[in-house]
Amino acid sequence: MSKQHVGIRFVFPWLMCILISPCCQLIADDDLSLEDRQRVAAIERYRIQAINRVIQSVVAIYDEDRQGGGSGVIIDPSGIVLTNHHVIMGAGVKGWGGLADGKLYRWKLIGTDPGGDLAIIQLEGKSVFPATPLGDSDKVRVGDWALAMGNPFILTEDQAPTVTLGIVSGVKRYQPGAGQNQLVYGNCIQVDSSINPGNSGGPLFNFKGEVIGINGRGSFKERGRVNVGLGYAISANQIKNFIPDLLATKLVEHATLDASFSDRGGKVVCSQLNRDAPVATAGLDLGDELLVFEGEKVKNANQFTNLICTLPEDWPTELLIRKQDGTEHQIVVRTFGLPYAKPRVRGGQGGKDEEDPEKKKKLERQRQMVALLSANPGDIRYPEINRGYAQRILERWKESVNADSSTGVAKLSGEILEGGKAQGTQETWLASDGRIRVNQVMDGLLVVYQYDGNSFWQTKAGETTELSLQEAQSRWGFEQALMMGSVFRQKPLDIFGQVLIDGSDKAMGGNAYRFKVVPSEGDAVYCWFSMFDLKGKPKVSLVKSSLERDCLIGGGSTFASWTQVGPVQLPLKRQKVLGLEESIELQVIDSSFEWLESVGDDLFSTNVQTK
Amino acid sequence: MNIFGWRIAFLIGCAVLMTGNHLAVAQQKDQPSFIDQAISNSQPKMVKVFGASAGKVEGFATGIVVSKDGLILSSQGVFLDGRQVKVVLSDGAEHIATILKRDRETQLSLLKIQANTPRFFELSTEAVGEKGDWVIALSNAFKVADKDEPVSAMLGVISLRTTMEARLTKRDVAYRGELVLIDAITSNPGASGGAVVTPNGKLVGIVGKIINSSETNTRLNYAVPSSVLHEFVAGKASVTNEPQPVMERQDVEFGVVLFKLGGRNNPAYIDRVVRGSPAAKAKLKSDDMIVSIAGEKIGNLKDYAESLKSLRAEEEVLMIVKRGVEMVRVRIAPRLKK
Repeated sequence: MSKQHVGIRFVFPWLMCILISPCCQLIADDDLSLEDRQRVAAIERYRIQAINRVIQSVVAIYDEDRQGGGSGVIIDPSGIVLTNHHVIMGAGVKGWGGLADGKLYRWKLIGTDPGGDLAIIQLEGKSVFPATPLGDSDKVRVGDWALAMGNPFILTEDQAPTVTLGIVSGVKRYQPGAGQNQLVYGNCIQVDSSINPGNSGGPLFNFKGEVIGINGRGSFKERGRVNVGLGYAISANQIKNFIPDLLATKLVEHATLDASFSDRGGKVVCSQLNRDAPVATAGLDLGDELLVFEGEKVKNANQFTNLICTLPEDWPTELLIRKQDGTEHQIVVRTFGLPYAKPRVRGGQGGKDEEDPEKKKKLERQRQMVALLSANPGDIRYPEINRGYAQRILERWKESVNADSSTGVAKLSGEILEGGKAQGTQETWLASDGRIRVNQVMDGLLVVYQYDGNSFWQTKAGETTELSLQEAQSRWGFEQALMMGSVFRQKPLDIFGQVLIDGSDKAMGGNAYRFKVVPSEGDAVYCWFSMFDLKGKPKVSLVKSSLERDCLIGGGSTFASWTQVGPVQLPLKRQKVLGLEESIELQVIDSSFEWLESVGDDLFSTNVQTK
Repeated sequence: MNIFGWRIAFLIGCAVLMTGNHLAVAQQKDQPSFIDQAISNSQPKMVKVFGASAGKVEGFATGIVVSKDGLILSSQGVFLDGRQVKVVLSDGAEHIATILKRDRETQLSLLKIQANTPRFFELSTEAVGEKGDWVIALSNAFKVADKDEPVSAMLGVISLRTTMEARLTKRDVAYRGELVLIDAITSNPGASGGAVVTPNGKLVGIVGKIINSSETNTRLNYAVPSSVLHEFVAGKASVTNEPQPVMERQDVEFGVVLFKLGGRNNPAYIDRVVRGSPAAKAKLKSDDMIVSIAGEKIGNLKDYAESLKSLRAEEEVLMIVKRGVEMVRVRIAPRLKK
């Protein structure tokens, strides 16, 4: 225990008694117990702990010349930092970041979302940075403690952030934006913790060691741009929706249904609709009532506006509507994007300015920002950087299932069900060196699929044929196994081609990274990886794969019921799903499984006799 | 521990040592905060009030329900002078309100709506809350909350209970009487009329109207105590039904002619000073730039014109002008326009 603690616990109460008893008017009673003082001391310690737990992950953001002021927070040990779009607009595409350890580290911009004022930058210089994970902002209640940390008024001399404490003043607040579809804060958290210029981009923490928001705006009027008790933070749950798009190095747009809703007689009805909008094609009409949007019951039009602000372009949005005739329909459609105004290129003032190094630097930075904002929204601006993140996510997948633990073969056996009725059986062997075998029996006929590490084979009715990658992928039994088994490879998914993060998506009801894997020839395949587990803790797991982004033609496979099979974790339930609604067509449920130390080589090689 | 930590620790220490009973409970894991109950019990008793705006003065405020048959207590101001006053209950229901009474000294108003309001605040005749107690201020500052959205909550501490003799020169801002100073920043547009409650949900008072010092441009954050509210509602002396007689605007001038470069966005530069005018007496000069009148920032000719609308003849105000690189402060009283 530090000297301070000893002081508070033991010496302090006695000292207080001695000092206060004769004359001090400030403290009243002498029935103030030691217990009460200890409780106060315990509360102080609790608060100090809550601060110390997270303070190392706060970043003071500067531009290349170590000027200016914004804040950020490290949300992943690899150095991924969240900040505001308007902070990087001021700082540029690269700069310096200060941490509480007193040191400065270089950062560079990865992706940005002007619509919701969010950006991701990458910190460099350490292999492991102190990080604080994102929490569940839907659990935040008015009255909860709210810790804001950052660099208001650029006060820090040693890079340690300023800490301000307040409460959550309101949730699901809306602050209108500026410019064309930019800096809108929808469904945001309102706090009375001091947020001042310089705090922008910095974290809002709860007392559980989680980031619940990114601070970026405040209500200002007559008093100038200083805190008057109303600050706003982008909610953590909105941020989760944008992370994959940002890591993909995109300029991200926000979602629009190209439809608006208004309050009419206690109902929320569609009051404006673009006939070409996907949601109109899917069946929405003027006058239809909106009942549920993205899983939330919609009580008024404001709520809808708030919710749609939290979604990126292309998001598969779910609506439950009630038509004029009383029937209810579920619609799932991908959204369009809300465009940004293209920046006007301000020409340099010619020769003289190009000579001045200061002005030259400024001009260069302007050019970089213009290039950034002129990018085609949704395009992957830097594929190599994107690929780096993709590989890291795949490594996390390997870690989460413990793929590199030992050598052997997992054997899974189960039934194939359609509409709940057994249609056949399936046995799957997945070897730790990546080889695969599937024995599938449907309607009495046995089909065998094998991957021997080089080629793909199918044996049907005694005849063995070699398949191309495409053909293998189009057979559901084979495709699932190849996906599952891929985790054992040195570089997962490499048999399917080159990986890239395609963007943010929802899969099996949760936030997912959508990957696109492009072979040297043939069609791409898509894979979705979860970002969090059911408890909200970061966890990367394969959840879905498909040859088509919306799982339409040929459907897709989902992977669930991850179970310990020997040293590794494998999904014992795979489903063939169709469409964005992921409606289930077939299921394979493995009822038995075992880990074999070794098997005969003939299991995976061809010329195996079928029964 | 940095300076904030120590200040908060000290405040909590004081709170504990002085009140004994109210021990701030630290928020553990998924437990609701120690003020969760107070907030959820109070929200149904909060209303949003919308009326007429006048120039820079906002047309919205907050109010509290004080009886089960629709009596609403709020602050009083120009927002009540328009054709209609609308009250929005916590469930989003809108009602037209009639003004039962208004009082200039306490800056309070009592409104009535045709509705049953089973959840209401009791107004205590005794002082609620002591120096050092936690308080939660609930208000619709900046009208962030719309329709049925809950009003905003702020946390603070009672700093002092005292009386105010203030008599400022701008209309609608005079307050005379007891007040409870708090350190939550309640002095914001639309917050007046909001509730200030203890963690037990008892009403300490309502958020007072903005009081801005024209000398220092700083504000007081305070609540009008429940005893004063009780007196007002119960119908004691010094209340009036009539709208303020001072609402009649006077046409005043300082006796300066300003540069008009076409457009109202130009700063208020003095072209010349009329002889014998208040401006001449205050020794204003040509090329002085008027930057502040009675605590209000004057950014351009439009601001200047607006400011004149709320001044009264012979009533002295503080004016700040920029003369060259210096800021010069003068006390000056406008005269009636000829």
